[in-house]
Amino acid sequence: MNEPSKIDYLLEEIVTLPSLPSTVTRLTRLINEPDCPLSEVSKAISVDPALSLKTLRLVNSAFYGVKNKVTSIEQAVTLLGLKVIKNLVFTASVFETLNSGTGLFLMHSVACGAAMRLLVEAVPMGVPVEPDDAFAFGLLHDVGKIIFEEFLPKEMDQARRLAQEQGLPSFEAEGAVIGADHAEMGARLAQSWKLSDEVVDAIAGHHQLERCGAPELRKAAALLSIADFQCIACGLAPPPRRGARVDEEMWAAAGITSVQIAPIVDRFMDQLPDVFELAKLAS
Amino acid sequence: MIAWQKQETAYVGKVQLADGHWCKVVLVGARTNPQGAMVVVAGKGGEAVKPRPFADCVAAFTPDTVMEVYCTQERAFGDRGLEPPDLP
Repeated sequence: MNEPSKIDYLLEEIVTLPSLPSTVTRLTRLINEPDCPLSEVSKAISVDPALSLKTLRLVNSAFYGVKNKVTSIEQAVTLLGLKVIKNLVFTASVFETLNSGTGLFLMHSVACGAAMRLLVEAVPMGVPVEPDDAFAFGLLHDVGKIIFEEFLPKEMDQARRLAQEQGLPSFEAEGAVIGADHAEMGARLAQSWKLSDEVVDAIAGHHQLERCGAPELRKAAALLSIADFQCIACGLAPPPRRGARVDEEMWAAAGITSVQIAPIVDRFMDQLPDVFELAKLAS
Repeated sequence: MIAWQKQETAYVGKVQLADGHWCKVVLVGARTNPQGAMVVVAGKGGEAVKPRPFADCVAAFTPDTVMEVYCTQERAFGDRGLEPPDLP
Protein backbone atom coordinates (compact mmCIF):
# COMPACT_ATOMS: atom_id res chain seq x y z
CA MET A 1 0.00 0.00 0.00
CA ASN A 2 1.32 3.47 -0.89
CA GLU A 3 2.22 5.80 1.94
CA PRO A 4 -0.01 8.89 2.04
CA SER A 5 1.67 11.94 0.49
CA LYS A 6 2.89 14.74 2.72
CA ILE A 7 0.08 17.00 1.53
CA ASP A 8 -2.51 14.36 2.50
CA TYR A 9 -0.86 14.00 5.89
CA LEU A 10 -0.94 17.79 6.43
CA LEU A 11 -4.61 17.96 5.47
CA GLU A 12 -5.52 15.09 7.75
CA GLU A 13 -3.47 16.05 10.79
CA ILE A 14 -2.55 19.75 10.78
CA VAL A 15 -4.41 21.94 8.32
CA THR A 16 -8.10 22.82 8.25
CA LEU A 17 -9.00 24.42 4.94
CA PRO A 18 -11.23 27.51 5.18
CA SER A 19 -14.64 27.15 3.58
CA LEU A 20 -15.89 29.50 0.92
CA PRO A 21 -18.51 31.95 2.28
CA SER A 22 -22.01 30.52 1.94
CA THR A 23 -23.08 33.52 -0.18
CA VAL A 24 -20.53 32.59 -2.84
CA THR A 25 -21.45 28.93 -2.76
CA ARG A 26 -25.14 29.79 -3.11
CA LEU A 27 -24.44 32.28 -5.88
CA THR A 28 -22.34 29.81 -7.86
CA ARG A 29 -25.13 27.25 -7.59
CA LEU A 30 -27.73 29.80 -8.71
CA ILE A 31 -25.70 31.04 -11.67
CA ASN A 32 -25.11 27.51 -12.89
CA GLU A 33 -28.86 26.89 -13.01
CA PRO A 34 -30.42 27.29 -16.46
CA ASP A 35 -32.66 30.40 -16.74
CA CYS A 36 -31.44 31.79 -13.45
CA PRO A 37 -33.40 35.02 -12.72
CA LEU A 38 -31.22 38.10 -12.19
CA SER A 39 -33.39 39.20 -9.24
CA GLU A 40 -32.51 35.98 -7.38
CA VAL A 41 -28.81 36.63 -7.93
CA SER A 42 -29.13 40.19 -6.60
CA LYS A 43 -30.97 38.89 -3.54
CA ALA A 44 -28.34 36.22 -2.91
CA ILE A 45 -25.58 38.85 -2.83
CA SER A 46 -27.57 41.47 -0.91
CA VAL A 47 -28.11 39.19 2.11
CA ASP A 48 -24.41 39.66 2.91
CA PRO A 49 -23.99 43.44 3.43
CA ALA A 50 -20.20 43.37 3.81
CA LEU A 51 -19.78 41.36 0.63
CA SER A 52 -22.27 43.60 -1.20
CA LEU A 53 -20.33 46.69 -0.19
CA LYS A 54 -17.00 45.24 -1.26
CA THR A 55 -18.50 44.06 -4.54
CA LEU A 56 -19.83 47.56 -5.27
CA ARG A 57 -16.45 49.10 -4.47
CA LEU A 58 -14.80 46.72 -6.90
CA VAL A 59 -17.41 47.31 -9.64
CA ASN A 60 -16.66 51.03 -9.42
CA SER A 61 -12.87 50.66 -9.55
CA ALA A 62 -11.02 51.69 -12.71
CA PHE A 63 -9.93 48.08 -13.17
CA TYR A 64 -13.43 47.04 -14.23
CA GLY A 65 -13.86 50.11 -16.45
CA VAL A 66 -17.55 50.85 -15.75
CA LYS A 67 -18.17 54.45 -16.86
CA ASN A 68 -21.13 55.47 -14.66
CA LYS A 69 -21.14 54.91 -10.93
CA VAL A 70 -22.96 51.74 -9.91
CA THR A 71 -24.89 52.21 -6.67
CA SER A 72 -26.81 48.97 -6.19
CA ILE A 73 -26.22 45.27 -6.56
CA GLU A 74 -29.29 45.03 -8.84
CA GLN A 75 -27.75 47.62 -11.15
CA ALA A 76 -24.38 45.83 -11.08
CA VAL A 77 -25.97 42.50 -11.97
CA THR A 78 -27.96 43.99 -14.86
CA LEU A 79 -25.04 46.01 -16.17
CA LEU A 80 -22.26 43.45 -15.93
CA GLY A 81 -24.04 40.14 -16.42
CA LEU A 82 -23.96 36.98 -14.35
CA LYS A 83 -20.49 35.77 -15.18
CA VAL A 84 -18.70 39.02 -14.35
CA ILE A 85 -20.77 39.38 -11.17
CA LYS A 86 -19.90 35.87 -10.08
CA ASN A 87 -16.21 36.64 -10.57
CA LEU A 88 -16.56 39.96 -8.73
CA VAL A 89 -18.29 38.43 -5.73
CA PHE A 90 -15.77 35.65 -5.71
CA THR A 91 -12.92 38.17 -5.86
CA ALA A 92 -14.44 40.17 -3.01
CA SER A 93 -14.75 37.10 -0.81
CA VAL A 94 -11.25 35.85 -1.63
CA PHE A 95 -9.91 39.26 -0.63
CA GLU A 96 -11.32 38.59 2.83
CA THR A 97 -9.24 35.39 2.95
CA LEU A 98 -6.13 37.05 1.56
CA ASN A 99 -6.41 39.86 4.06
CA SER A 100 -4.89 37.55 6.61
CA GLY A 101 -1.68 37.84 4.58
CA THR A 102 0.57 40.92 4.50
CA GLY A 103 -0.21 44.01 2.43
CA LEU A 104 2.44 43.01 -0.11
CA PHE A 105 0.94 39.53 -0.37
CA LEU A 106 -2.43 41.03 -1.25
CA MET A 107 -0.76 43.38 -3.74
CA HIS A 108 1.05 40.42 -5.31
CA SER A 109 -2.17 38.45 -5.66
CA VAL A 110 -4.06 41.35 -7.25
CA ALA A 111 -1.13 42.25 -9.54
CA CYS A 112 -0.80 38.63 -10.60
CA GLY A 113 -4.53 38.53 -11.38
CA ALA A 114 -4.15 41.58 -13.60
CA ALA A 115 -0.99 40.21 -15.26
CA MET A 116 -2.68 36.88 -15.94
CA ARG A 117 -5.70 38.60 -17.47
CA LEU A 118 -3.44 40.61 -19.79
CA LEU A 119 -1.47 37.50 -20.77
CA VAL A 120 -4.65 35.58 -21.60
CA GLU A 121 -5.77 38.51 -23.74
CA ALA A 122 -2.38 38.69 -25.47
CA VAL A 123 -1.74 34.99 -26.04
CA PRO A 124 -4.36 32.76 -27.66
CA MET A 125 -4.95 30.19 -24.99
CA GLY A 126 -6.00 27.01 -26.73
CA VAL A 127 -7.99 26.29 -23.54
CA PRO A 128 -11.35 27.78 -22.57
CA VAL A 129 -10.16 30.46 -20.14
CA GLU A 130 -11.62 33.93 -20.53
CA PRO A 131 -9.84 37.10 -19.37
CA ASP A 132 -12.35 37.69 -16.53
CA ASP A 133 -11.82 34.15 -15.27
CA ALA A 134 -8.07 34.52 -15.70
CA PHE A 135 -8.00 37.20 -13.00
CA ALA A 136 -9.08 34.61 -10.42
CA PHE A 137 -6.20 32.33 -11.46
CA GLY A 138 -3.70 35.02 -10.50
CA LEU A 139 -5.62 36.08 -7.42
CA LEU A 140 -5.54 32.56 -6.03
CA HIS A 141 -2.20 31.20 -7.27
CA ASP A 142 -0.39 31.64 -3.94
CA VAL A 143 -3.35 31.09 -1.60
CA GLY A 144 -1.61 27.96 -0.29
CA LYS A 145 0.94 30.27 1.35
CA ILE A 146 -1.84 31.76 3.52
CA ILE A 147 -2.73 28.28 4.73
CA PHE A 148 0.90 27.45 5.48
CA GLU A 149 1.39 30.78 7.29
CA GLU A 150 -1.61 30.04 9.48
CA PHE A 151 -0.81 26.44 10.39
CA LEU A 152 2.97 26.18 9.95
CA PRO A 153 4.36 29.66 10.70
CA LYS A 154 7.74 28.48 12.03
CA GLU A 155 8.32 26.22 9.06
CA MET A 156 7.42 29.05 6.69
CA ASP A 157 9.96 31.33 8.44
CA GLN A 158 12.53 28.61 7.98
CA ALA A 159 11.58 28.18 4.30
CA ARG A 160 11.91 31.94 3.71
CA ARG A 161 15.37 31.97 5.29
CA LEU A 162 16.43 29.00 3.18
CA ALA A 163 15.11 30.62 0.00
CA GLN A 164 16.98 33.84 0.79
CA GLU A 165 20.26 32.18 1.77
CA GLN A 166 20.40 29.72 -1.09
CA GLY A 167 18.57 31.70 -3.77
CA LEU A 168 15.85 29.07 -4.08
CA PRO A 169 12.36 29.66 -5.41
CA SER A 170 9.84 29.66 -2.56
CA PHE A 171 8.19 26.38 -3.61
CA GLU A 172 11.52 24.53 -3.48
CA ALA A 173 12.34 25.92 -0.05
CA GLU A 174 8.86 24.96 1.23
CA GLY A 175 9.30 21.50 -0.22
CA ALA A 176 12.62 21.11 1.57
CA VAL A 177 11.28 22.30 4.93
CA ILE A 178 7.62 21.22 4.93
CA GLY A 179 7.65 18.38 2.42
CA ALA A 180 4.90 20.02 0.36
CA ASP A 181 4.59 23.43 -1.29
CA HIS A 182 2.05 26.24 -1.60
CA ALA A 183 1.05 25.21 -5.12
CA GLU A 184 -0.08 21.77 -3.91
CA MET A 185 -1.87 23.27 -0.93
CA GLY A 186 -3.52 26.01 -3.02
CA ALA A 187 -4.77 23.45 -5.52
CA ARG A 188 -6.31 21.40 -2.70
CA LEU A 189 -8.06 24.51 -1.40
CA ALA A 190 -9.39 25.36 -4.87
CA GLN A 191 -10.60 21.78 -5.17
CA SER A 192 -12.36 21.96 -1.81
CA TRP A 193 -14.06 25.17 -2.97
CA LYS A 194 -15.23 23.23 -6.05
CA LEU A 195 -13.54 25.66 -8.41
CA SER A 196 -13.07 24.64 -12.04
CA ASP A 197 -10.49 22.03 -13.08
CA GLU A 198 -8.74 24.80 -15.03
CA VAL A 199 -8.13 26.84 -11.85
CA VAL A 200 -7.13 23.80 -9.79
CA ASP A 201 -4.66 22.59 -12.42
CA ALA A 202 -3.17 26.00 -13.10
CA ILE A 203 -2.54 26.57 -9.39
CA ALA A 204 -1.09 23.07 -8.99
CA GLY A 205 1.18 23.44 -12.01
CA HIS A 206 2.31 27.05 -11.81
CA HIS A 207 5.79 25.99 -10.66
CA GLN A 208 5.85 22.45 -12.08
CA LEU A 209 3.92 21.80 -15.25
CA GLU A 210 3.88 18.04 -14.76
CA ARG A 211 1.43 18.59 -11.90
CA CYS A 212 -1.27 19.62 -14.37
CA GLY A 213 -3.72 16.76 -14.58
CA ALA A 214 -4.79 17.61 -18.11
CA PRO A 215 -2.01 18.33 -20.66
CA GLU A 216 -4.19 20.92 -22.43
CA LEU A 217 -4.19 23.02 -19.25
CA ARG A 218 -0.40 23.35 -19.19
CA LYS A 219 -0.57 26.56 -21.16
CA ALA A 220 -2.73 28.18 -18.46
CA ALA A 221 -0.31 27.03 -15.75
CA ALA A 222 2.66 28.33 -17.78
CA LEU A 223 0.99 31.72 -18.27
CA LEU A 224 0.29 31.85 -14.54
CA SER A 225 3.96 31.17 -13.82
CA ILE A 226 4.93 34.02 -16.14
CA ALA A 227 2.40 36.40 -14.56
CA ASP A 228 3.82 35.50 -11.14
CA PHE A 229 7.40 36.10 -12.31
CA GLN A 230 6.49 39.44 -13.88
CA CYS A 231 5.05 40.69 -10.58
CA ILE A 232 8.12 39.48 -8.68
CA ALA A 233 10.42 41.19 -11.20
CA CYS A 234 8.45 44.39 -10.59
CA GLY A 235 9.00 44.09 -6.83
CA LEU A 236 5.28 43.43 -6.34
CA ALA A 237 5.79 40.38 -4.13
CA PRO A 238 6.92 39.73 -0.58
CA PRO A 239 10.62 38.83 -0.24
CA PRO A 240 12.61 36.66 -0.70
CA ARG A 241 12.49 37.17 -4.46
CA ARG A 242 15.98 36.30 -5.69
CA GLY A 243 15.26 32.64 -6.44
CA ALA A 244 12.28 33.33 -8.71
CA ARG A 245 12.54 31.92 -12.22
CA VAL A 246 10.50 30.67 -15.15
CA ASP A 247 11.90 27.51 -16.71
CA GLU A 248 12.40 27.19 -20.45
CA GLU A 249 9.64 24.58 -20.64
CA MET A 250 7.16 27.09 -19.16
CA TRP A 251 7.97 29.67 -21.85
CA ALA A 252 7.67 26.99 -24.52
CA ALA A 253 4.31 25.82 -23.13
CA ALA A 254 3.06 29.42 -23.01
CA GLY A 255 4.23 30.00 -26.57
CA ILE A 256 5.97 33.27 -25.67
CA THR A 257 9.38 34.19 -27.07
CA SER A 258 11.84 36.94 -26.09
CA VAL A 259 10.74 39.29 -28.86
CA GLN A 260 7.13 39.22 -27.60
CA ILE A 261 7.98 40.41 -24.09
CA ALA A 262 8.15 44.20 -24.59
CA PRO A 263 4.43 44.78 -25.34
CA ILE A 264 3.47 42.37 -22.53
CA VAL A 265 5.51 44.39 -20.04
CA ASP A 266 4.21 47.70 -21.43
CA ARG A 267 0.56 46.66 -21.07
CA PHE A 268 1.17 45.54 -17.50
CA MET A 269 2.91 48.81 -16.61
CA ASP A 270 -0.01 50.78 -18.08
CA GLN A 271 -2.39 48.79 -15.89
CA LEU A 272 -0.45 49.45 -12.67
CA PRO A 273 -2.48 52.46 -11.43
CA ASP A 274 -5.66 50.32 -11.63
CA VAL A 275 -3.88 47.46 -9.86
CA PHE A 276 -2.78 49.75 -7.03
CA GLU A 277 -6.35 51.06 -6.67
CA LEU A 278 -7.81 47.55 -6.65
CA ALA A 279 -5.34 46.35 -4.02
CA LYS A 280 -6.20 49.37 -1.87
CA LEU A 281 -9.93 48.67 -2.18
CA ALA A 282 -9.32 45.04 -1.31
CA SER A 283 -7.49 45.77 1.92
CA MET B 1 17.08 36.42 -10.87
CA ILE B 2 19.80 38.84 -12.02
CA ALA B 3 22.04 40.16 -9.22
CA TRP B 4 21.98 43.89 -9.98
CA GLN B 5 24.68 46.22 -8.68
CA LYS B 6 24.40 49.96 -8.47
CA GLN B 7 27.24 51.93 -10.05
CA GLU B 8 26.58 55.64 -9.48
CA THR B 9 23.16 56.12 -11.09
CA ALA B 10 23.35 53.01 -13.30
CA TYR B 11 22.35 49.43 -12.52
CA VAL B 12 24.65 46.73 -13.87
CA GLY B 13 23.83 43.03 -14.10
CA LYS B 14 25.85 40.07 -15.34
CA VAL B 15 23.49 38.18 -17.62
CA GLN B 16 23.66 34.93 -19.53
CA LEU B 17 22.71 34.95 -23.19
CA ALA B 18 20.47 32.23 -24.59
CA ASP B 19 23.56 30.60 -26.18
CA GLY B 20 25.26 30.32 -22.79
CA HIS B 21 27.73 33.22 -23.19
CA TRP B 22 27.79 36.01 -20.63
CA CYS B 23 27.46 39.76 -21.01
CA LYS B 24 26.65 42.80 -18.93
CA VAL B 25 23.40 44.71 -19.13
CA VAL B 26 23.71 48.34 -18.04
CA LEU B 27 20.54 50.25 -17.17
CA VAL B 28 20.99 54.01 -17.43
CA GLY B 29 17.55 55.39 -18.27
CA ALA B 30 13.85 54.78 -18.81
CA ARG B 31 12.27 52.50 -21.43
CA THR B 32 11.37 55.56 -23.51
CA ASN B 33 15.10 56.15 -24.05
CA PRO B 34 16.31 53.71 -26.77
CA GLN B 35 19.71 53.69 -25.05
CA GLY B 36 18.28 53.35 -21.54
CA ALA B 37 19.44 49.71 -21.42
CA MET B 38 22.70 48.71 -23.08
CA VAL B 39 24.42 45.36 -23.63
CA VAL B 40 28.18 45.02 -23.27
CA VAL B 41 29.76 41.81 -24.56
CA ALA B 42 33.43 40.95 -24.12
CA GLY B 43 35.29 40.54 -27.44
CA LYS B 44 37.44 37.53 -28.34
CA GLY B 45 40.54 38.97 -26.69
CA GLY B 46 38.57 39.89 -23.59
CA GLU B 47 38.23 43.56 -24.61
CA ALA B 48 34.75 45.12 -24.44
CA VAL B 49 33.10 45.60 -27.81
CA LYS B 50 30.88 48.57 -28.60
CA PRO B 51 27.76 48.56 -26.39
CA ARG B 52 24.47 47.88 -28.19
CA PRO B 53 20.97 48.89 -27.18
CA PHE B 54 19.28 46.02 -25.34
CA ALA B 55 16.10 46.45 -27.39
CA ASP B 56 18.08 45.64 -30.56
CA CYS B 57 19.25 42.26 -29.32
CA VAL B 58 16.39 40.83 -27.21
CA ALA B 59 16.30 37.70 -29.40
CA ALA B 60 19.73 36.76 -28.00
CA PHE B 61 18.32 36.57 -24.46
CA THR B 62 15.96 34.16 -22.74
CA PRO B 63 12.40 35.50 -22.22
CA ASP B 64 12.75 35.72 -18.42
CA THR B 65 15.91 37.82 -18.80
CA VAL B 66 14.11 40.19 -21.17
CA MET B 67 11.14 40.45 -18.82
CA GLU B 68 13.36 41.07 -15.82
CA VAL B 69 15.48 43.69 -17.58
CA TYR B 70 12.41 45.67 -18.67
CA CYS B 71 10.76 45.41 -15.25
CA THR B 72 13.97 46.42 -13.47
CA GLN B 73 14.39 49.36 -15.82
CA GLU B 74 10.90 50.52 -14.86
CA ARG B 75 11.72 50.11 -11.17
CA ALA B 76 14.96 52.06 -11.53
CA PHE B 77 13.92 54.86 -13.86
CA GLY B 78 10.15 54.68 -14.37
CA ASP B 79 7.49 56.84 -12.77
CA ARG B 80 4.88 54.22 -11.96
CA GLY B 81 5.57 53.99 -8.24
CA LEU B 82 7.45 50.69 -8.19
CA GLU B 83 10.08 50.18 -5.53
CA PRO B 84 13.78 50.42 -6.57
CA PRO B 85 15.51 47.28 -7.83
CA ASP B 86 16.62 44.67 -5.27
CA LEU B 87 20.33 44.82 -4.53
CA PRO B 88 22.29 41.92 -2.98
